[in-house]
Amino acid sequence: MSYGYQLPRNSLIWLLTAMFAGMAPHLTRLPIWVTLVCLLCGFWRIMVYRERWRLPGRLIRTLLVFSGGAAVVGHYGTLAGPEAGTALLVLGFCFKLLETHSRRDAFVVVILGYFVVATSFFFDQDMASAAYLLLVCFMVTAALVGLNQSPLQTQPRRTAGLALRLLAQSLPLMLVLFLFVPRVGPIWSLNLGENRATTGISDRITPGDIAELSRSSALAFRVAFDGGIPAARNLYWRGLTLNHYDGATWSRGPVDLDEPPWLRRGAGDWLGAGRGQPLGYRVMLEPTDQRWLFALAAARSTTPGVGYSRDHRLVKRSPVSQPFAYEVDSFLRQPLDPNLPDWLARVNLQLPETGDPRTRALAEQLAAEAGSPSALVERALAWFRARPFSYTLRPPTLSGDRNDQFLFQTRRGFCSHYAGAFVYLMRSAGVPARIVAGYQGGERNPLGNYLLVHQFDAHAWAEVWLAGQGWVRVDPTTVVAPERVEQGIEEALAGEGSFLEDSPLAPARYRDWAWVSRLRLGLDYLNFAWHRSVLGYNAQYQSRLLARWFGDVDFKRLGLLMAVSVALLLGALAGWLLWQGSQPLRSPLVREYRRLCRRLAPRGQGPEPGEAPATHLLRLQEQRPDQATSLAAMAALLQQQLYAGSADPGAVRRFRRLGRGL
Amino acid sequence: MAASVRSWWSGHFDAWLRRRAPRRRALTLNQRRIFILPTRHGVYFLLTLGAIFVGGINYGNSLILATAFLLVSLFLVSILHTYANLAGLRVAAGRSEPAFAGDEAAFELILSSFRRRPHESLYLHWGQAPARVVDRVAEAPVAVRMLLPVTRRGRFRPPRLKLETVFPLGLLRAWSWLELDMACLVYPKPEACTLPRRPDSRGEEGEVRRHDGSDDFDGLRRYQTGDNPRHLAWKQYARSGELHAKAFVGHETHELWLEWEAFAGQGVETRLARLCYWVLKLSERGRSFGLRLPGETLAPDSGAAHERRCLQMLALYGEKP
Repeated sequence: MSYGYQLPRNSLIWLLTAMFAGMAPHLTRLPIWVTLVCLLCGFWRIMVYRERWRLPGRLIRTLLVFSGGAAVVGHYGTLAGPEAGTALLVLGFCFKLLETHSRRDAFVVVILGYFVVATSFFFDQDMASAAYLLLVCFMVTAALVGLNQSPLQTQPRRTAGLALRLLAQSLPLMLVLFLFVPRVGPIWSLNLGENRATTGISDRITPGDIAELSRSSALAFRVAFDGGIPAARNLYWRGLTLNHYDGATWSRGPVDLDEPPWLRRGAGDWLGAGRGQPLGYRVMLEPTDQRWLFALAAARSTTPGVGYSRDHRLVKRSPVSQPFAYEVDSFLRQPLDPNLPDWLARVNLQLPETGDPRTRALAEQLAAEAGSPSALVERALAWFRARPFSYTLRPPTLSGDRNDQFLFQTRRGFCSHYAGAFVYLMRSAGVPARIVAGYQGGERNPLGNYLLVHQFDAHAWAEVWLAGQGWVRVDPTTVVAPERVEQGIEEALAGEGSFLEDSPLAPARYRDWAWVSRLRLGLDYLNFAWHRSVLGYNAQYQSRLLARWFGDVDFKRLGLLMAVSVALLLGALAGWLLWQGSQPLRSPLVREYRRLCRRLAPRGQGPEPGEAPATHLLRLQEQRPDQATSLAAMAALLQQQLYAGSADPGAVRRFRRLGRGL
Repeated sequence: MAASVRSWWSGHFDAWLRRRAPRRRALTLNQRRIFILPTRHGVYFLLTLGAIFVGGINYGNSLILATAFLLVSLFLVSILHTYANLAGLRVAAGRSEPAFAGDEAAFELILSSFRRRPHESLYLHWGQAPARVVDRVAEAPVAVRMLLPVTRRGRFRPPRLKLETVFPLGLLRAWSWLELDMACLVYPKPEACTLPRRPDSRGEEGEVRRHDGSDDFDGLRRYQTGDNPRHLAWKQYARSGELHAKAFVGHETHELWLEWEAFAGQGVETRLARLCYWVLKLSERGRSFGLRLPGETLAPDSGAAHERRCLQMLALYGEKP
């Protein structure tokens, strides 16, 4: 193509629109200089189009590309990964705009546009983003249509209309493909960046620092149960176990319980056989950028990419960087680790060499009184109950011998304080114990009969190993504030008013207002359906859904179903397009006349072969003298339409009204 | 070797195409005539959506998969649209004008449609003529004039016409080969030379006065249909109300004959080219002349019709009727 080739105006307009619309969602994630470069490139291209400026020469372009790449490396330290990749893509998109001489260049920009749309879905997957990106897709398509229209076409609206029609016709096909194309697991494992800001529970708990988590109303995950939703006091969503205490902070410790060989499915007898009826449910987890998943105790999962850790949790192979749905069967009555190996017992008896002397003394005293570990648990809980402990999200800060301070002086705290102190007591008395971090309870949405678990449902409790029973869940917080577990954190904080006090606009704060609550739950139901049916449409969900519709499906039937429905849709579309093509073009008035003829024909008043419409109507005047005037008027209308070619919009209506008397 | 294979192939392809679509004066494009295949852009598009699909699978991202499915659907739908942009198009042979060898012959095509929706962005490729874009062909016939370079004297049949479109997305190309029953005459390329005198020339004394020349004014005569409007006597018309034409006489040495034999010793095409030059020259001067070719003779005459007859005789000399 020669330099003289100007991109069609239609195409350029839509290319620029699509480019800026496509990049807008990325701009908050990208450094500010990328935005500025984009604006500059777009402005430059517009000036070129208006023939004020020239496109940059080869030297400037080369310079731009290399400095862009260098700046990305400087900013992110790499060229790979979604963030740096997106920055590169966006920059490339802009630079390509500066060398779009030919149709091929413009086509490359269009292809990049589709890529930008696809990569946006790494970051945003909610319904609004999807709708917005569909809009961007439409703009890119309009640019592509404009590129292939003749340069004589200069109405961007007509181009858009064509693109809209194409997309509208593609959507049913897309739906069929979405439903029927077999979902397979990842071909190779990829990790999205892990350095993004994370919300959710942390793998370190330092009782005495300020509580942060309980104040966020963000969603952690949704759970759809196969049967009814169990009682709130059974809903302990295990996420992590914290096994190591350094005198201030509980952490996961030096022994990594997530790593192979335990991660491998069925790799040991520690998992045990499921006992009793399984409780089946599906969790739709929001991104956490962590590998751990949440489930009720003794969980099994058949979802690809999910394995088990040594402490009976579910772990994903790669971090959850986008919404992730997994199916779980929980065996609530199954004991965990009926026989505790010595090395694991050592891990769960670890304590700092020194510190907290009063707590250690209390543990020895309680152990001596109790005699057996299970009695010790009871005595310890009774000890808490008998003292003036209170539940608060605004505990005083602690330092030094934190457990001593908490148990004997401040006596105000929330779940991690209680769980931490309890595990410390147990370990001091020689009973293996650990902190479990996760979520407790959840909000039931009556609309979809599913459970919403928010960040403010985050909780920490203890697990104690008792011979013969395995790990037993003990929640010391319930002793102090039973309503925390029975009714949720809002009730537990009713007197204090600290529930979501930092987010006055969070809808969850207004649960007492019925309509706000209903609106919020309704909206969430939409999101739930979106997560379950669209984002969480994986192999298992697909086979379950299709089995419900078509009975058992294997790959062969699935392929057949897909081929048949695609063929049907395309056939219908082809029929419509070509039928529309073969329709002879007739004016509406002539069609109206034909309709009249069909009505008159049975009475022998139809037109003679070869008779002109007006002649026919005038001949009828003799047979229907009562209608003579209207027949004459109708004939005049037809004459005018056929021979004068005037398009009178009211003519059809008038013709119909006149013909009614016949 | 490769060239012979190619010529063998193109010969067979032509024969196949001719069987499939014989020459006609007018035809409507349908599935028998329309071919459709992805363009290079279409292949790139498919590769891109393949990459997006693999990304969607690998990251387990339903929406990225949905994007890939949307693009596949767009591709499939555009197959139908590209096809429908040609289907139902009616192409008819229009007028054609003769030309001199080395010039361009003008052919007219008439495009129309039965469809409600117009056919957009149609490309016409015809022999060596530069490609033409025709936009929005609807019911009303659109006449397209194309200039085809002609090199050889004789009857020229234009090669197959290729009608193609990539509308609306440029991902697929639909095209059709049309053999329209069209032809035009290609006159020899005129070659300037002196008019050789025949040895039996009688010189000036044999001069006869002939009417219908254009050299000298000879008087007025009554108007007849077909008289040159430039020769009408408007002054007399204004005076008398009767239309008269000015009559001129041409001076001619004798009955002028353009003779094949006069160019003895030259090749066939050279003779024809020189004869052609003199046919044009003499007609321009309004002279009356006859043309004698081996086996064919045109009696002396003058005027545009005579010129055309002469040129046609020259063009078709030696060709089978």
